[in-house]
Amino acid sequence: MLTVHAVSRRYGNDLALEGIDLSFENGVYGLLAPNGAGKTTLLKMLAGLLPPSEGEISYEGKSIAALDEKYRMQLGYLPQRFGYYPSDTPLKYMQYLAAIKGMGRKEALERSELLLEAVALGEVKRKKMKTFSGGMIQRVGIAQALLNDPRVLILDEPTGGLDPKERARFRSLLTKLGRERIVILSTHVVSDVESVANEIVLLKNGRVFAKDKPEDICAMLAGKVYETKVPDTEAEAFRKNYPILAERGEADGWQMRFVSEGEKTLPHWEPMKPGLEDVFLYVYRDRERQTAEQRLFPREPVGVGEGGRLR
Amino acid sequence: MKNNRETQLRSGERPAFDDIDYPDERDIRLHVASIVDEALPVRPSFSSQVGAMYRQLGFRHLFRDLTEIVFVLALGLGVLVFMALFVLSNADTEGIYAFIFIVSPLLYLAVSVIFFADLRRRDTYQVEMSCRYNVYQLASLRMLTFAAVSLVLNIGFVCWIAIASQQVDILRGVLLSVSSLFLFAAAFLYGQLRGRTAASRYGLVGLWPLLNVGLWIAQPHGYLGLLSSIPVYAYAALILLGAAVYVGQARRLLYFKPKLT
Repeated sequence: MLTVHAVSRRYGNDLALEGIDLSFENGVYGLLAPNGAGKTTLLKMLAGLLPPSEGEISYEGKSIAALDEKYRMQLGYLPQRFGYYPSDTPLKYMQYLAAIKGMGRKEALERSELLLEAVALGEVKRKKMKTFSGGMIQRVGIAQALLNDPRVLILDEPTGGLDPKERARFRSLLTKLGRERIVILSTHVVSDVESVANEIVLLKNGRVFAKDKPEDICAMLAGKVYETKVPDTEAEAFRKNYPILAERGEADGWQMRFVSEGEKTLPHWEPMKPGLEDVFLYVYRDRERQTAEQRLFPREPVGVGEGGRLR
Repeated sequence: MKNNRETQLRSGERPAFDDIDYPDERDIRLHVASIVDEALPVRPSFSSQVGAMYRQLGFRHLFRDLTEIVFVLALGLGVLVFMALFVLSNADTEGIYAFIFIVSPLLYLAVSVIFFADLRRRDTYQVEMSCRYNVYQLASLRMLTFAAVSLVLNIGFVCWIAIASQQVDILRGVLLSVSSLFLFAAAFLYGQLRGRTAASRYGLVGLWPLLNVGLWIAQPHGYLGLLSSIPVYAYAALILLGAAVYVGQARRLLYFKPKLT
């Protein structure tokens, strides 16, 4: 078990994270928060790269700082910005990382080849990485994190640069990995974790806002999410009165998905089953930004083209 | 089976042994290792740790790639040629001793500065820091290897000078070279580990030649006389002191934990 106890992290006078208490057992955990909410800081601390300003992180009952090398032997880590040597081939880079992860030469070669096949890079394993796309580099990053068959796998925004097919493949891989290890991944893309995470951790204002199963997180908005058609003339007032989760411009007005916390509902409001994305948008809604956006881009009636884009 | 067991535990019923999943081999090994570590904590010695790292990584991974090896070799060759040209054009024995003392750490310095300057700016830093042998442990091994290689090259060079010039005492030349290398290397690593600013980390790099050349120019008789008159046993003591401090700093590097990553 990986345990975070009363952990805070300061950068000078700025408090990035405060009073974080979490525990992780085998399974997939999605760390969900907007950019700049402290996800990367928390993951760096979990990976032992950054010491907490206060509190302690322990693995199997021992401080990871004290475990040091022994903890790193159990760890697979993909940083948000995965660095590589452009003139290396993925196979060479994987073998180098395998060596500094403490693996023998034969095992390193076998496992590197196997993992590169698993992330669909087998055919280009001897090509220099400087010719690779962002998605290919990211797949090398995912493969290297699995080199030492880690018990704790920490992935910071692992799906950046992956196309939809690769994302689907990655989700399937995560499900398999989570059966016998702790997998913690951070993302601001809800669909990355919605179907695969055993638990979701929401961070807000440097604290844990919620940690629960996806369905329980969604239950936070049970009975509060609706959809309705709003005429153009009433749209602005509606936006001011209700947190909007999604809206789509149509010929005769706006199709709005919104949250109503009050008891009063109208007959033409259609109750909807809340999804994780609804919760995410609701928890992290930014009223000031929305108001400024409305002033900058006053919404005209749109007949075509907006096609369900979230605002 | 797990759900069944949880239900039993909640109801206070004792699970039968048959219901308990048997751990796999890896879990068994991890738990045994954890129990042994808890009962008999042993921190491996510096030499065994370095030895294990060298056996694991070998010479192959001490340098990043062929470019780095070629660069180091070219640099080494350049330094040796420069030293050779100076010695061949200088007939003054005391001057040669001073030259040996000043330039002996040059090769070590060049290779080490390049390595450390690049260390935290590399994109790969975070990935390498999360590995069993992290960046600083690799640095420790590298520094020891660089020092050993520099030592051998310097001794070889001093022997060549002694044979070529016929006026340099091999023992004194070697002791001067080795003491200078260790004193500089120890101070360099100390600066790297303790220095908070780039100036304090790299100040010594410029200070060493500046101070020595400055003294040589300002007080030629005093400086050259001092280097030539220090007894051999005093150099031996300096070497021991420098080596002890250097190994101590390399050891610190092995367990070094940066405050910010």
